[in-house]
Amino acid sequence: MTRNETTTCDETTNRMGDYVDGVMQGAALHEMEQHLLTCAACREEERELRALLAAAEALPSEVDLPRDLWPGIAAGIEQAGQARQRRWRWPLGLAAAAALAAGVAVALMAGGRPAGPLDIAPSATPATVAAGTLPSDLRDAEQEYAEATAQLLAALGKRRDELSPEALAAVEENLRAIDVALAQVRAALQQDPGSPQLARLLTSTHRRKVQTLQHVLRLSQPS
Amino acid sequence: MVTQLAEASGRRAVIDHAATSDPRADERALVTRAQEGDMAAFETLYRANARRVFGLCLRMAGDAHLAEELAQDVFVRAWQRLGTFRGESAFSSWLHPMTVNIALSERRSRRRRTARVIATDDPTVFERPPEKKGEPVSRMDIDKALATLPKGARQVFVLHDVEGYKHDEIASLTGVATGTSKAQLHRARKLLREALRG
Repeated sequence: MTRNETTTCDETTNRMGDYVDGVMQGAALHEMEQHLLTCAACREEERELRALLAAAEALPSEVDLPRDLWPGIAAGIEQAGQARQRRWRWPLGLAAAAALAAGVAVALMAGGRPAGPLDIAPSATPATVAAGTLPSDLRDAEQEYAEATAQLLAALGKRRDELSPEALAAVEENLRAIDVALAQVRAALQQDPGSPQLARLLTSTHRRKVQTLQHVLRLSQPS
Repeated sequence: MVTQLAEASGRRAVIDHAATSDPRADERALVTRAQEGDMAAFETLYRANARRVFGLCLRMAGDAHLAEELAQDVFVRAWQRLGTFRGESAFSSWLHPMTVNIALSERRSRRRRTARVIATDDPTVFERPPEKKGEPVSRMDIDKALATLPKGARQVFVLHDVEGYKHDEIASLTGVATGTSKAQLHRARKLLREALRG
């Protein structure tokens, strides 16, 4: 076979797929057909490829399963459902608290007449989860946050004259929202005391309360 | 009334058909019940579609154990996304692209997979009707040969030559260029012909 014929057969082999798939057109199609007329080897390539594609197309779409997969599927659905329940949405109170903290800041900066007695219910003594249901490090962390919160509330109480009624109301609503969030997380922990996600959420919610109080205190300082 | 019974983990899901049953209407009723949380109805949908889903997973994965995991994933995801099924197509048509996507995004480690060998000694996993006389290529041979291909080539061959996807669709699904899809197909066909020659 001459070099030209070999080259032509190599090219034919490389382009056979396009020819068999019916996407070849024009001069390329003509050259291919002309070559196939004269080359038995390439005709055999074409036959083999067409047979392969016909068999592939005829493969049954259904294959018998080696075993019943339903138990695994049911378990997977069950697990996915439990994961969704445990994926605790950030308590709504915290989203509100973030907005309220900004409102408190505005009220404080705008000034206003002094308010009456500070009426912020210290929720610094949290309704703790029953002893023994929380890991000891989490109980310790809750206690520390409770002490910090109590100190900040006491400090804020001394600054009540600096706070307008609007600011007081905003602070109280803010803290109430965070306490609602804390109660929700604690209730969830009673159901699932070993959950690391809930433990993290509890500590971060406490931290948010402390940060809010610190923020309000800073803003209430006389300039 | 014709009563169709589906064994379901020791329970029975009874579906009453009218004398002139409409399979699509029956399927829509099942889907509606499944969307409302009826696991027995979903199990019936699973049993009606499992062989097709498994068949596609098996050919895409080239490994029976992995195909079982993928098929399970398909139905778990189908349950989670049932709310998006509008009933405009057959349930099997709705499952098909989900199956392809899951098979393509298979991320688990191939702990039980050997590189080029089917992971089962049970030939009935490729059970076929009796071969027609004069058929040049055995279907079992093709499935066995498919499992020996490199993953990319195998998946493009299955999508293009078995499932009928076009190269631009394959490129979109797999994230490769259209030219790469064509090259993979050419390679797959060449390797398959070599494998089938023996």
